[in-house]
Amino acid sequence: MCNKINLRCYLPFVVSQVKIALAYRMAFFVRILSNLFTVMITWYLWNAIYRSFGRATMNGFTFQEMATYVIVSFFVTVMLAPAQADEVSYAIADGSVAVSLLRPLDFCGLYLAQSLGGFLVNTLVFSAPFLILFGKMGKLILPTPQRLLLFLASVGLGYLIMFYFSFCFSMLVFYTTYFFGINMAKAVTIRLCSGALIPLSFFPDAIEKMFSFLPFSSMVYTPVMIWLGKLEGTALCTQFVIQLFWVLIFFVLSKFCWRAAVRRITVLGG
Amino acid sequence: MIIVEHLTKQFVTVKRSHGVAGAVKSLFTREKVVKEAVHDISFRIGDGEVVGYIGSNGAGKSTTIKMMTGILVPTSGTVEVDGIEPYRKREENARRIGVVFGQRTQLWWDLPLADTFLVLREIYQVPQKEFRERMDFLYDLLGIGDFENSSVRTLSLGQRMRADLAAALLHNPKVLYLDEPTIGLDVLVKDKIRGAIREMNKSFGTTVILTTHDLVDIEELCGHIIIIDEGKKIYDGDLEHLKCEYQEADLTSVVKKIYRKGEAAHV
Amino acid sequence: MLRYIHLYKIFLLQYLKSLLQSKLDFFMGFFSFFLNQILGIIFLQLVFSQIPDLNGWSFEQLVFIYGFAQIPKGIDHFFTDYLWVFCRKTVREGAFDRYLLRPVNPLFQVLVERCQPDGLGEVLVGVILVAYAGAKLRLSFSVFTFFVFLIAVFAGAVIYTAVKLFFASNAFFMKECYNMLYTAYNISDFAKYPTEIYTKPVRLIVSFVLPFAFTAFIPANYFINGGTLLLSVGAECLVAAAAFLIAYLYFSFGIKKYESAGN
Repeated sequence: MCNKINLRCYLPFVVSQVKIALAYRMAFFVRILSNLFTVMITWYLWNAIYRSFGRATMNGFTFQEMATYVIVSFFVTVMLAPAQADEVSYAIADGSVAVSLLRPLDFCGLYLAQSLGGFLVNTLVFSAPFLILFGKMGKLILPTPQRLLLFLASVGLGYLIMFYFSFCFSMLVFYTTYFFGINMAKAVTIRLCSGALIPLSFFPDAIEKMFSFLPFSSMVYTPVMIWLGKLEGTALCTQFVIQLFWVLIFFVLSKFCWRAAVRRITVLGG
Repeated sequence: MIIVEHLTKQFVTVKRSHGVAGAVKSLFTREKVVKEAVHDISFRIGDGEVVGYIGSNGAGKSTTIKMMTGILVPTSGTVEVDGIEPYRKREENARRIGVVFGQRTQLWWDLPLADTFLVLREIYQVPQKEFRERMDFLYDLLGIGDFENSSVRTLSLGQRMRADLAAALLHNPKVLYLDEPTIGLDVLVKDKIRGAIREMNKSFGTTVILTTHDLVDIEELCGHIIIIDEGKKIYDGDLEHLKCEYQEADLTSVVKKIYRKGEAAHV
Repeated sequence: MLRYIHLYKIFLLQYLKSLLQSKLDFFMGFFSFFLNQILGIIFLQLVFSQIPDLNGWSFEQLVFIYGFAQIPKGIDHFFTDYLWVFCRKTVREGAFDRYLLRPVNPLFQVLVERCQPDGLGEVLVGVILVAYAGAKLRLSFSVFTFFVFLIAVFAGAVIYTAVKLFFASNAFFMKECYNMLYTAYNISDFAKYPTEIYTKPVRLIVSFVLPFAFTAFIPANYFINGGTLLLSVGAECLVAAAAFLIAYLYFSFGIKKYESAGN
């Protein structure tokens, strides 16, 4: 019986997304290539920066640590990418979301399941091999097994935060025709506040403090700092609690948003 | 006007396998399959005729039309429209034809209709006076004055079809190709469109080629009928003769007979 | 030729008319691209709070190069934004037919189909940064320099269009061409910095394979440090012409294939 609780119903969606990801051969190879290129060049930039810097440690990061930060944070963004829930905004924009109302499945859960297919591919195929490769090549510092597990847990939580946040954000599609513009602003803000652009410790103290109150820092900065071993003990526990907190908040918010959306679709016709 | 001789079109596609194993396999190998969409078709269409081009789904109608409009190159055989081969002299041919696709619009999504017509006027280089005259004629004929300031995005299907038809006619094309022009339309709009086609043909001698599944369209408009099945021409003549040959009183029964025969040939 | 210029004017006018009707969307797009560019400056700013100079380049010089890089990118973005849609949807959904059914060069139609005001955001950021850095660096601008600047920026835009067009033309040959286009386009990000910080193979790719270095660093360097006009801006124009020719040939080749194989 297909209902919200029977998880087996979602499995075909996860599998289909994995198949779709593998089926486009060109895209498969090219995406790997494009990922590599981007990382390489950011690395060169920091290389030049550290050479000009002269000293070994900048803001608490040695060059090796910074290189690790750059590479790992990049791959975290790759892993988080499916959580952007683009399909949700597209489905709302072209009206096909109305069809989803006819199915006896939870719309939000459905998209989460579909995005998990992408998450699996991104993590196992696009990220893990390269992280291992770069580690073996000495380009980055590999974590201890415990740190790795904690890292993965943190990424998992970050993923959920990103997903539910994006889901709520997608509701804005109802209110504007040019969603791409707002979406871009969202991507930019996240890039800035999550630590993807630069480790948050590089920002002036006041701003760094502000970022710690926003959900975005726990998407990239937190997991990467765990990987580097810079986040341990009580500070680590606090961060996990904060992450869980944000997951909960956005999860609840998404339920409200969805109900409002349904009301809007059924009353206004989407 | 239009001469089609021994027209053939073959497509090469890649075979796909099922399941995850198949998906992985397809990353490394490729198997090719040749499909013949159109096989050795010949016919002639005279100036000012209204021709119905009928066939079941996948019979090769769209492929033939694409070759006649110049956007697809034949594998072998020739097409000549008003003296030129469309796929060789595409732009020149484009000046003389109008095309309406039932499923897709040719118009710019965001522009108001009136502005779209102005842009098209520039593209087809229609002289100002002639443009005004034809626009008046088409506005009257198709009743599009009411929504001329709306963008195409906001139009209903019936309005959009009429707009597409006007856009295809504003430069007085010698040949008008209609691919499913009445699909999804209500009976009133269908009537209006049929009337417009009839009027264009009568007043300007526009040759019309119509592909459609709505057989009433054919019965109302077409003197000349060509039927295609599995890429081959099955019939080429007029409506009455067709009914005689298949011993049926109406077109629908005739067509059903033909499609069924085609289906049976498969099994 | 004149006819095409005239045609383009009409397109642009009509398009702008309809675009300005939705002012909210206009400003949203504008500001979000604006924001995106600021990120790079923030990065530089934060980094320069730690180091005196980057490989001998001062903060203002880097800002100049960075800003200079935005202008051709923005210009291309404004005029040829449809290429993204072309790559992603047009050919695949069979909507390319209508370009072939009109008596106008299909490439012209594709390039002109949409104009994207977001690009103006990038241009504005670039101009502001260039003006700011130029003032801080006390660069002198004569009428001649201004004229050369315009040429450099225009040639840069042509290079962007050429690269986009080339990769968008892949839509004729493969189903998923968007990723490649996206990658190629984003390599332009790295021309925002002096190419000497990269190792040789990377420098070669950014200079000669996807010649984005010619849109930013090479002409910007001329304005900051002087040097031969011919070897910098002159070379840029040559590269722009060659790149566009290659892209155009590939696009035409793609049309031939489309006409023989349908979609």
